[in-house]
Amino acid sequence: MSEINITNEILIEELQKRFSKYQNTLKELKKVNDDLNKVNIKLAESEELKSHFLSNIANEIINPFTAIIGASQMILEAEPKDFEFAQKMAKNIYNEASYLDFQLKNIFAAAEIEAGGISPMYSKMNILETICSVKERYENLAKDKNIKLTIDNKTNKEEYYINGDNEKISLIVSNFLNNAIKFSYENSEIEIKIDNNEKNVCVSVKDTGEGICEEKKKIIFDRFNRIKDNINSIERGSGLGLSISNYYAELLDSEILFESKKNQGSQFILKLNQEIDDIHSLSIDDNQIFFEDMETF
Amino acid sequence: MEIKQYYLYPSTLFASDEPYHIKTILGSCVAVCLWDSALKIGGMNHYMLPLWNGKGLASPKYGNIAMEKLIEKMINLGSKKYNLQAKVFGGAEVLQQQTINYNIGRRNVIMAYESLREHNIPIISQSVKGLSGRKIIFATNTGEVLHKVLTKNK
Repeated sequence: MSEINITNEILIEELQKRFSKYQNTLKELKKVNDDLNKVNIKLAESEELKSHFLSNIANEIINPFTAIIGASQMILEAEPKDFEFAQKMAKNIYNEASYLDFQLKNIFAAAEIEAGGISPMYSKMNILETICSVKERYENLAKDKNIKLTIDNKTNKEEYYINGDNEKISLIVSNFLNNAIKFSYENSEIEIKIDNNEKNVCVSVKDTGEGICEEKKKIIFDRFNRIKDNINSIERGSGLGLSISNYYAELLDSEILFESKKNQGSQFILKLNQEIDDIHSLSIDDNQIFFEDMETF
Repeated sequence: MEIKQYYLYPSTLFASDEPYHIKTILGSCVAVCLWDSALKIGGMNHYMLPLWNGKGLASPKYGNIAMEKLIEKMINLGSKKYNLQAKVFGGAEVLQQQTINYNIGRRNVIMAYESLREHNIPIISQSVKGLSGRKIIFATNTGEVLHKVLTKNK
């Protein structure tokens, strides 16, 4: 009798062991399933963002072209006495074309970045001149909302040469300025400030517009994300500007900081690193100097 | 013939069907050199973090994207995957970055291994991890890589 008892106990023990092993396996399986579900949700969200982006971009390109074709048609049909009207149409064409130029710059930049072909192109550039050029390009857009653009040069210099990538810095500041104008109220002022110390040159764009609420602050640098984002919103823009600016800033070993309060406005600051002993900010002979101590092939 | 030089910045990648000496400097970042033994062409990436987390642009700053893009570029240049060989460099534990991104070097290296294994690309040599940075020069016509470990005096 006692032998059968022991066998039963051993059996039960063995069953319990296997049962708990299966329970563990089930738990693991459930966890893997949960992870898979999470990834699927993220994938679906990503696809939705991308589709939304693509249809949005189509509008960003088609609308300006429609306006340009319409306006140029009107100029073609205008009579000499309608010169003032023709000028107004020409101004529309200029504005729409400039807007399109900026949007396309952002789209191509994002595509290039994601494809991996971007490198910094350093050269000696006058940062003050660069900022002035950007400001000039946005005068018209600002005037439409009666916004005043001012430059506050705190560098005590007429010309300020730095080692930088002119094209990328221009696009970053253009994105700052475009956003500032977009989110500013009419009859307001936007201040562009240039400041420096031994380590950095700072370019900041400050507006007194809508500002960014706390929860949105975390996503402003994500691609495709625009503040007022629903399909019916008439807000223009691709949602790429800040993510591109962020990438460019990192590429130039610099950083972007911002301060913002809902309904009080925002300030975006580009802090350009000017410390020359950083390897990556030099481009002498393709940085050959750092490889001189190596053998050759 | 003077071979063209190309300095590869972090978060970027470069491949070409022309002969190049591609150079880069690595700390905790990882660079993978891909060489096509049949066409005698090559390319290299240089990434800083292992995985793209969905924030910001999907750029080659992230290993999973950098690896896919580099392989894609080589295929676009005419390479067949079965002719590709890899050499992996970098992934050191650089002291300043330890506190912010623990083990980032090691995680970057693991990303390279996983990606290459997935694509069946053999790793024929490597110099990874450790505590020092590295300088490498990749000759894309011969597949050779010159490699130097950076010691503290440099």
